[in-house]
Amino acid sequence: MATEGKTIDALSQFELTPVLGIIGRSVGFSQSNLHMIVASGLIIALLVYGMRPRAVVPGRLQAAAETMYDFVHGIVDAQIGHGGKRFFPFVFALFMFVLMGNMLGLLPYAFTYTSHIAVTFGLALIVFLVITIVALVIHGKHFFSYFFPEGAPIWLAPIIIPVEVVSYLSRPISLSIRLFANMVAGHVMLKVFATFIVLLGGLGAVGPFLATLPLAINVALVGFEVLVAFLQAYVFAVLTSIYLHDAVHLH
Amino acid sequence: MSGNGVGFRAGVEVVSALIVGIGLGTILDRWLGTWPWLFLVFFMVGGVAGVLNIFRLFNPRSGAK
Repeated sequence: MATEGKTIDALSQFELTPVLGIIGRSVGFSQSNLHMIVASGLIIALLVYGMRPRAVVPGRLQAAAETMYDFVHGIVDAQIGHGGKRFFPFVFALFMFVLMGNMLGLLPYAFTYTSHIAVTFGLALIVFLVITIVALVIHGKHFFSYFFPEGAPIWLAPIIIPVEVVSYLSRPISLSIRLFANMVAGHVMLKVFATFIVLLGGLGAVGPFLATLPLAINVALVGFEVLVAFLQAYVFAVLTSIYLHDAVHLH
Repeated sequence: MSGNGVGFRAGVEVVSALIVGIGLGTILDRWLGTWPWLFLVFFMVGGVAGVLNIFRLFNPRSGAK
């Protein structure tokens, strides 16, 4: 499957294919959409069924749900500070969606929807719109002073304002590229080393022994990818919170 | 965070600022018909904004008050 004519084919895993037969084909319902729905269902199931016992000493599912809640709550509290509580549902939803997408993608035969820039840029665009609208609603016209720091000499305005505007607009781009590039790089590496296993394994008598080297690397890589999957969801949530802090407090 | 991670983040910050600068310059040029002058200006602005992004990465603005 990984080798077609003894070449390394690392990118076909990101191709979209329609699922659910004729209905999926006619509305363009790909496996990416399916995985998003599965991820959302898993998140809701974790929170609803996990919290159902409401035990003082939590069971495993309840402990997982409570840990997630506490973790994101800590991020929001630390980064946004005063007046940050109302943004908790937004950050929590983003964090869980990205985390579940990254983690689901590590399962065999699963698809990583966060490895498509269209998805990550869509998420980043939502963040960008929210921070801009929040800042405009809270501060009104005062929001535009964000692009010109107080105390700077006025003759520098023609230089500072375009630079600040470009820096502000680059936020959704950097947010989306970081997540997308990390997921693509990880999955390409996994696929390349997996292909080495197959190619080396076919090299006669010594092949299977040589093939254990890339296999060992792949075992280590899977562990590393779990770390990256969590870290990228964490970075996404932290940066969203930092931007929300800027929007709420301006400077 | 590991050194690799910091390097990657810094690279992404510069590249995204350059993408915005180039995109903005190209769009403004197409609108005003001044190709390639605004493109060149915003290419420079994008580079400066990228450096500013890296500066912010290591010196968060919220900490400075």
